[in-house]
Amino acid sequence: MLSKLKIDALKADLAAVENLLGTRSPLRDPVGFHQLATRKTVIQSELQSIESREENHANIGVFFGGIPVFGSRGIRADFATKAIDHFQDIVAKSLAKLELGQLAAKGPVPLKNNAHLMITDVARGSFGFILEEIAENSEALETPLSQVVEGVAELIQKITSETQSDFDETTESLDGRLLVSLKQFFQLMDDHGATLRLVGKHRTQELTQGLIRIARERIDSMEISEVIPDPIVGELFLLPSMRRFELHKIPGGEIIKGTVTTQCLKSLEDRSIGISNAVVGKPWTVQIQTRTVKEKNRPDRSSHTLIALVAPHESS
Amino acid sequence: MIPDFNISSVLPPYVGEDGPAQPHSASPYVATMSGVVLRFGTSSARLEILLGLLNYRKALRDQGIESGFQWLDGSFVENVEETRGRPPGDIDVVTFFKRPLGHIDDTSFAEFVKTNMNLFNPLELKTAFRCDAYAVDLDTDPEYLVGDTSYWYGLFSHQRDSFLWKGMVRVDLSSDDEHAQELVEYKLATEYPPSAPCNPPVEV
Repeated sequence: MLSKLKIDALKADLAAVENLLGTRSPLRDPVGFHQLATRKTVIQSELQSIESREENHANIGVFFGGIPVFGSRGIRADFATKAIDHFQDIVAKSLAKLELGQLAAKGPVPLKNNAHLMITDVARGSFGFILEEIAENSEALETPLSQVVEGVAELIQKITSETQSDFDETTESLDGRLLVSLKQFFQLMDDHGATLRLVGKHRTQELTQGLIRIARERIDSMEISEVIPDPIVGELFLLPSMRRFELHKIPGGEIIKGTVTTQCLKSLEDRSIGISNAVVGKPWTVQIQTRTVKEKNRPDRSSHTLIALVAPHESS
Repeated sequence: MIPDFNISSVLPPYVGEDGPAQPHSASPYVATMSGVVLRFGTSSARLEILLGLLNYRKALRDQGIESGFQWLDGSFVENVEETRGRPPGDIDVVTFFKRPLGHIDDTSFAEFVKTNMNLFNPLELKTAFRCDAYAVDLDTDPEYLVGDTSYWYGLFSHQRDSFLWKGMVRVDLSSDDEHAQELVEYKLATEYPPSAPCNPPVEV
């Protein structure tokens, strides 16, 4: 079961015990006082143990409420299966994006097998599914899937945020295919009048029907187009650790800034090109993808991604 | 009578079409100690825990704590062999007891507790008797009693992580412990003799 749920339960238990302890003394209730004092120590020890444990594989609790859920007894099967399927799809595309930097406009999602989450438990209250990455051994470092699942939870939080700037941040990381999956997910949730609670490793998010409706409207009105124009020439500056670039076009001097794909950086390594010597400030012919986000009642926003260094440019 | 495990591998909170309105078909399920042995003594690991419980109960009786009842709960009353692939490591017990004769008043009872602290220290009881055991004084202030009972009932009637509503077992402090002891020893000697293949590893 999720550490977060265990921790929440233990903290509630501890609060109850402290409350009981506060009403009595060793003189008035020798057995009760001693028992509860010991119980308090046991709970605190268990809490410390769980909180100090490193959990490096992916896990998340996805709890549904609202119209599709019948108390703690059950949840509509048609809704639940689709909702979990859409969530898994978002995770798979996000993992592919993290590992490869760019999803093709069509075709199978790469690395999909690496993104499989298992339903390892159900939780009642509202109706919840515990999704976990099944790791053969305990991991020394956080797995990519764990990073992605935490990232998806954060993405959903920002999409549903009442603060517009939080939502604007998310559009930087979306591509066309991920947007489609998010649209499907929020459309399903909204159409069924469902609510959502996500319990991650460190945080819990509660999404009311109202917030889900906001998210759906935002996402439904969003379009993302990704265009790769002809290669262009310019003086190139790279920050590999930040995956950022700046290109001063030749001629003209127009400055284009943006992110760099993992494959592009890797291709430099493969070609044994030293970034500092051969690239910084030197003229290159490059390929840049321009991404335009269109939303209702807002000006279009464009961002650029350096996807390939074609060749050094020989000035005439 | 203690019902079978339900589909979630725990005791159901109630059984039968009559539902919780029928006291005998709702948790806590009243049983004798021999009933507990027959129902849950299904491996040598479990029988060893039951021996511990019987010894704990004897230790209480030896000090005059003879009246009251126990709630039995935790992984011992769940099918953890199936859900976790291993037997339980201990049994969760809450003993609701009447003060022993001669120690009814608060001063005398406080002295009794001080002298017999080994019977009220959960950490010692776990080591000595494999019981994760707590106790509630039935002769204490009624408000304390209600608070303690609510706390333990809330804890014992639900799984912590999944919030699953589940049942527990109740056994009177004066039960057929001698018969239960004989049953345990008989089963250990005949069904699980020392020469038999090892049982699954015990929870540490």
